[in-house]
Amino acid sequence: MSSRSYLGEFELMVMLVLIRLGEDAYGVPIGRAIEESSGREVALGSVYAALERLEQKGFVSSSVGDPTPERGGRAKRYFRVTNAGLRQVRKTRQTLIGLWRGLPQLERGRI
Amino acid sequence: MSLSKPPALATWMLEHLALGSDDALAGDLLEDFDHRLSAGWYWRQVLMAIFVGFTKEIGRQWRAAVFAFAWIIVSVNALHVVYQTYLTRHMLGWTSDWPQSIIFAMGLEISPLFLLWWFGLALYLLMMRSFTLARFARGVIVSVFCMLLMFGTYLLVRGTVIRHVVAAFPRHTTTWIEFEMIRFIFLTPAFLALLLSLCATLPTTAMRRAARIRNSK
Repeated sequence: MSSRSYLGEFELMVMLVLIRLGEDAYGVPIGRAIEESSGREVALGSVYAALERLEQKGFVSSSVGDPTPERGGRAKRYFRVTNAGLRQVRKTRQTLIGLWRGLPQLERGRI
Repeated sequence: MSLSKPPALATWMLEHLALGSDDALAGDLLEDFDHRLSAGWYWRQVLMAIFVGFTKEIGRQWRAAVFAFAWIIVSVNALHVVYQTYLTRHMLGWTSDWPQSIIFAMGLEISPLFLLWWFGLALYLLMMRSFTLARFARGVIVSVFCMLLMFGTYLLVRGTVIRHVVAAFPRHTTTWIEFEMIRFIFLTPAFLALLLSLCATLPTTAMRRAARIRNSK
C-alpha cells in the first residue's frame, strides 16, 4: 500500500461515514456522525481538510448544491465515495482484520 | 455562553483568514450554530479552520518555508556577529547618552537584520523567477510590519522574562542571557514573520486558482 493511497484513521472514519450517509453527505451530518461515534467534538475545518485530501487521492467526489437562506445564502457541498474509494476501504478493512487476528490478547481485554 | 447569532468577529475572521476554505464550510458552521447556539463552539470551529488553512498553505508554500528557515539561521548568526561588534565597541567606550544610546543600539541590532531580510526577499524572488519591484515592495512592507510587531512584543516582555531567567541561571550575565533569548526565543516568530513576507511577495494559491480559471475560459 503506497503512502499516497494509504487511509489515515480520521480519513477512514470520514469514508465510513460517507458510505453510511449516502446521497445526503455534506459537512454538518458528516461532523455530527463522527462526533456521535467518537464521543468528542470534531472541527469541521479538519473534516474538510480530510475530504480535500481524499478528493485529491480520487477516493471522493463532490458537487455543489443550491444556496439556502438558513446557511446565509451559502450552498452545501455534497460528497460521495468513488469506486476507487470503496476498493480502498475494503483493502484497509482486510489489512486491519489481518493485524487484529495476530493480537488475540487485545480482543480479550488483557492489555 | 449562548447566542441567537454567531459572533460577527469570528465570522469575519473565518471569511478573511481561513486560507483555502470555501463557502460550504462557512454555511455548515452557520447551519450547525442554529442547533448548538454556543459562541464557544463557534469560536473553536473558526480558530481550528484558520489553523488548518494556515498549515495547508504552509504545505503548499514549502519552498518558501525551507528558504525562510535557512535564511533565519543565516540572519541569527549574522546578528551574533553584529552584537559581538556592539559589545566590543561598548567595552572600548564608544557609547552615547540617552536617548542616542538606545537609538544607536537598536539601529545597530535591527537595521542589519532588515537589510538581510530584504536581501533574502530579493534573492527568493530571483530564485523563483518572479522578481518585480511591486512584489518586492509588498514583501518589504509586510516584513517591516511583522518585525515591528515582533520587536514590540519583545520589548514589552523582556524585562519580566529576563528577571525570571536571571533568577534561574545566577551564574550567567544578564547580557549573555538576553543575547541567547534573542537567538532562540525569537527564532519561531522570526521564521513566521519572514515566511509571511515571502508568501506576500508571490501570488497566493487562491490568486493562482483564479488565474487558471480565467485562462481556461
